[in-house]
Amino acid sequence: MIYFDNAATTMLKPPEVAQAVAAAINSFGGVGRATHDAALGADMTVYRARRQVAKLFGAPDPKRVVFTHNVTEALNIIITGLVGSGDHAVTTAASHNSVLRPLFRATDKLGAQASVLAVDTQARIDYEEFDSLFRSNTRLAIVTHASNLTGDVYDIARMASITHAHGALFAVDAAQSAGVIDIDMVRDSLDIVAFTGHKSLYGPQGTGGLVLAPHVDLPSYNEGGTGTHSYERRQPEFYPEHLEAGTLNAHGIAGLLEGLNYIEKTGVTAIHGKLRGLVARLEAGAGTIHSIRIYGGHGGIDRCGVVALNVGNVPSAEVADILSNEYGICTRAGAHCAPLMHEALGTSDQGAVRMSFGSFNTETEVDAALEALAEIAGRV
Amino acid sequence: MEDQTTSTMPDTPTVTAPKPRRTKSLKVVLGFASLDDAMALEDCARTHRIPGRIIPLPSEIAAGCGLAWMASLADRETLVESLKLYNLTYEGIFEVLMY
Repeated sequence: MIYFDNAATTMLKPPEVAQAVAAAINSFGGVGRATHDAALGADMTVYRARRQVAKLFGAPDPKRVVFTHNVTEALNIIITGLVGSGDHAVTTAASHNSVLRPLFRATDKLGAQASVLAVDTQARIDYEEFDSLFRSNTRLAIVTHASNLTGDVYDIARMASITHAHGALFAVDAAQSAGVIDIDMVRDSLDIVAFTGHKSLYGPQGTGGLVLAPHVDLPSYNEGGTGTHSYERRQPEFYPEHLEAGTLNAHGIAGLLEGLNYIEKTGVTAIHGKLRGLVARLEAGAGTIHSIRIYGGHGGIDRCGVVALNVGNVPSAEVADILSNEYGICTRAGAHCAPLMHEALGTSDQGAVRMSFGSFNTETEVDAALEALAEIAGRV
Repeated sequence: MEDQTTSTMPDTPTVTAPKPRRTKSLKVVLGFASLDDAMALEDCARTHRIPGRIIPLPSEIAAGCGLAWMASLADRETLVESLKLYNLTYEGIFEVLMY
């Protein structure tokens, strides 16, 4: 099997990840719920994972690293907390449904307002147009760092600067970029970063979170047990407990910690360089095959390890199925939960075949995919 | 048929000296707002040999649950100096009679 569906979930992970999860399942008690060795083992793992997340994102305060079940939950916490009745929010058409749907729920149910920056037919955004979308009541701009469809990386530092000039908060959906692109919350002036563990952080599914800058507060989302202050009627105001109710997925976080350790050891820059190399190799090869169209990557834009393409007018689902069944190459077809991006690219009906790379993919695998694409293109 | 089971004499009860009664003594106890603060101290203590250990939050400090740090009264000065030296956060410092 050749696994090129890493933008959904990285399947090939450092072996330490599975080892840590297995060890955790057989040794962890409840996080923050007792002082015996089993509980303290879980506590210490979560504590260390918080610090690794903070280090990865250049976050000043590890206690403002909040663990959630995935990036979708983190984005819902952000949007639900900051976009209410009378508030205005800005996003881009490159956003995933995990941003769009919570925003549209706020507009439909709460009377909030939202503006969506268009992307052009080559998936590019206009930063001056982004600037023009802000209003006096804009409270939040929430954008994807890297498109989960095209892999294009947007300039979050520039968008943060524009957002702050209008007095709003700036949140980044780093689902595809965390661990691939260098992110520094202080350098880039990011107020909130949302991440998931199971993609390019090489952790298990069921892990993710958000990181808050010191000046940002969100209302509690879930309320419940924290293991402390049990006689207080409401969720504690201090972090991370303020946004963490119930027992954390410490088993998963143990694996995530090993994924983070792998990234630290390997280096984000080295990982990014490798993925860019695989993207360039695939796109260069695919560009020589007639009838293949590649989306994104225009204008010298930076990339994460994602390529979207189509073979002629063949539905993407059929191409992905052929790749899987006849060549053992795992890709993702369809809309990728990015409806506005597909509308802009004119691929709403056809969808796109997404090939996404992880740190353990190889050039040999890319060459095998190119051979498969050439054969498919020659037979349809 | 004769029972082949070997009969044995009952075990002779082991006579052990009763353990001495536990007595309470005054301990230094730190309370924390967040679990993360408690873990920061635990992590630091493992490296820098700060005296004490994590215990369940004593009811003398607060009702409910949570974690605290307990050290002997004789180690109070060392503990406080370490908290300052390593910039560790705690909610309060108490002296509590404990077993």
